[in-house]
Amino acid sequence: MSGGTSSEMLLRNRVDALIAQIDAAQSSVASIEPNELRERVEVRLLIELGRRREEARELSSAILDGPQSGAWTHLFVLQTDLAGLFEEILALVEGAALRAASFDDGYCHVADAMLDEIVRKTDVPWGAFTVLGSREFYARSTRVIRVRYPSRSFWELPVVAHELGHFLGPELKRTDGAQWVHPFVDMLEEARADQPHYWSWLHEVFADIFATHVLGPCYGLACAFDRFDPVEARDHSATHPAPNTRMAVIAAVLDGSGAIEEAAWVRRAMLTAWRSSTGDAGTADGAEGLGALPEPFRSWFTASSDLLAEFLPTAGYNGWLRAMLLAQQLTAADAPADVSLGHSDGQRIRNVVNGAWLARLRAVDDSTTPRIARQAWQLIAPGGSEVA
Amino acid sequence: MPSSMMLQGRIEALESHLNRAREATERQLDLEGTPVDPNDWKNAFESIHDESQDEIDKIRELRDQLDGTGGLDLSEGWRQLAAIQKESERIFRECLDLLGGLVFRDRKLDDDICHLADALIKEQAFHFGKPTAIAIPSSDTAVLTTAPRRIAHVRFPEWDVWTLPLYAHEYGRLVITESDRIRTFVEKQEADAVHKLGAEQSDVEQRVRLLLADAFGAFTTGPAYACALLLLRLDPVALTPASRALVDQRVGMVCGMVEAADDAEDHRIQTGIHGILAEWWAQAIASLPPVPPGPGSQLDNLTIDPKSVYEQFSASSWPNVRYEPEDWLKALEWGAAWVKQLDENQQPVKPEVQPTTKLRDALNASWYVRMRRPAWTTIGAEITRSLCEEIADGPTEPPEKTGLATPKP
Repeated sequence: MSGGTSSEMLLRNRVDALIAQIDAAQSSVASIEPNELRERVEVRLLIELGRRREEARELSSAILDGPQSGAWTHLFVLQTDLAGLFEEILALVEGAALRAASFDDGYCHVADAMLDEIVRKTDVPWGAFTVLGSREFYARSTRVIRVRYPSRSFWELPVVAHELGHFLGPELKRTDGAQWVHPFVDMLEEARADQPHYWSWLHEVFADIFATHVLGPCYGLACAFDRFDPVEARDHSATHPAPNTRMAVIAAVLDGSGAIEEAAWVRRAMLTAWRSSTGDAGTADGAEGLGALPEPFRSWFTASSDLLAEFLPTAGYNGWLRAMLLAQQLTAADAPADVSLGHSDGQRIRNVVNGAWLARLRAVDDSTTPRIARQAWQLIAPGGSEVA
Repeated sequence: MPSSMMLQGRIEALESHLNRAREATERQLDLEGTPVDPNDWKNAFESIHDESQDEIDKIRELRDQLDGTGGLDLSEGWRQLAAIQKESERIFRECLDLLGGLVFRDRKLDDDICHLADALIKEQAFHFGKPTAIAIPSSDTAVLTTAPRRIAHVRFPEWDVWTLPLYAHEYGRLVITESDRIRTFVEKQEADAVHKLGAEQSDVEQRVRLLLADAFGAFTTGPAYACALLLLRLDPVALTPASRALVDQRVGMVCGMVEAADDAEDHRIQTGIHGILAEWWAQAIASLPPVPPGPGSQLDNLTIDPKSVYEQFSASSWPNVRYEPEDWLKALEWGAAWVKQLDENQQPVKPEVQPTTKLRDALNASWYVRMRRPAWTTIGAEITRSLCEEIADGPTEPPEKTGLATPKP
């Protein structure tokens, strides 16, 4: 029996196996259907995989030339890097397959359409799509946004815009003449230098501000009514600021979003609902408005708002009047609202979602909520399956 | 909106989501590309279905308490909802992983490795009289963290036939948890470890069962399991003393099991592979810089004697699935033929498959060749896969007709 095999042979085994895995991942990406989804991600992912394949191939060649100090460590680092990318590619390929099997009942298609509507008002191409996931999540490597399974709730549709904010923030850039500068990335690094967990917190604050900026009140309403947990309202986690803080940030954005009386009423309704549930849960705090935000949140709010004003001035939601008109029709329980409303301002889906939320708030009781959701859904996904 | 209505709204939404997840487990997807036995489907989803129903029952009880004269205050209502939500999110994640994995298989994106993993597990499950498991692609983290279910996790994108032996570990996790024959032994190992190490029961349980699942892999699949684990899966690079200790424990267990099989009194197999693997592994470790100093774990000092595990598995638990000397002789016969063909620059020939031929025969034969002729890694991959597919898809005979070892009284 051959007993002379060395550490280098063992190492080459591993590197060659890793190259085979990269090839398999590339095949998986190339197999995504339908074409319009694959085309959004294929080139970028194949380049990422190709780069790492080349690195593995060079490592394999180097090992053939003789003992390599640090080769195992190099392989370990490459494997660790690829593990994250493989995980995301698996989620993407499975997610696309579940979409193709209509497992999401068309929800992801509508989420894509809403995000595309937002991105069209920026000069930053997103170039990805949404898939079902166990929670909302933005994957940096694939840019794919996961929407929560099995929710498929019309009311929670705004939450995906928060994930888009995680993508857009780091993409904002300007040139100082000599090179590109990414101001939000610089903010993140400064925050991390202050406290390690501030990096994540600032990401969340920016994403909340972004979502409110581009969607209007419906984002905060979805958080207050359906998503933030009142039991944990005071609890900062390693990755997220406390929900109370986040609601205060969202309210501060809405506070500055214009003098429309109806919008101010909605903001108050959002805060009243949140305070009511946190009051019952024993976790309320009285903070309201920008002045009540503690540092570093107040500085982050100001800096993030300035960035959005500079880089995304045309992306801000300004369809509130159309939303109010839609809300009247949805409240009346008549035939679905005139589909032409809201088409021409490039904010059709956002107008419908805001209109539906306004109708829900104005409803006498909760029993009309499902009917409003169904009718609103039909406006943005005609012929699609029903959602809650 | 009154807070009670907010809470009721959240309760209704969560109940709707749980119902949706439970319905998904009842609705068999139309998977033309990878037909799944309805019983296997049911078994894989069974625990998810039952757990969804448990949470639905809790939600209904919560709602009744809030609606009726239960007198449950809203603060407690929110707290109970949060607890149900947390548990539900775990169920949703696992349900989605399973559905996504099955749809992935249906698209044939896994090079059929899941089908082969199913077949390997079925070969073992037959002897235990317990339901089998469905293999699905999973991420690296899913393999490490998911509790044992009737699901075998095939690491994406490891479609390589050389890693196939590793899926014996997946079924081993189920068997170690569920088998009445081994329960006393397992619990004793855990109790001894808790007593000696002072570690948490749950941590000890996880570690002991991981090592015993490795032992199961080597016991049932033979040296191929040890080869695949050491040469393709375990990482010699360790960032912490605790991670080094874990890998050392796994290496020690599988090499020890192969050695115990080699030296067993009444059925010596004598592969000699454990010595070679241990030597290669030691060389790899020696080529690395020392592990950075750092706090270890109480589990670092856990020891389980592989020989006693082998004896326990053989004598009282599962003799019918043990890798036997005649199995190794078959692997030697096939392997030696391939080595000769390679050395004579002939095209390797696939051996004839009988109804009694098992996947472990092909895997051990191929690993035998790979250990001696590294070029077999690429040359032999296709023929090994083809052989495995033929075995997996061919007719089989039940063991009582083939004269295999019968359980000792």
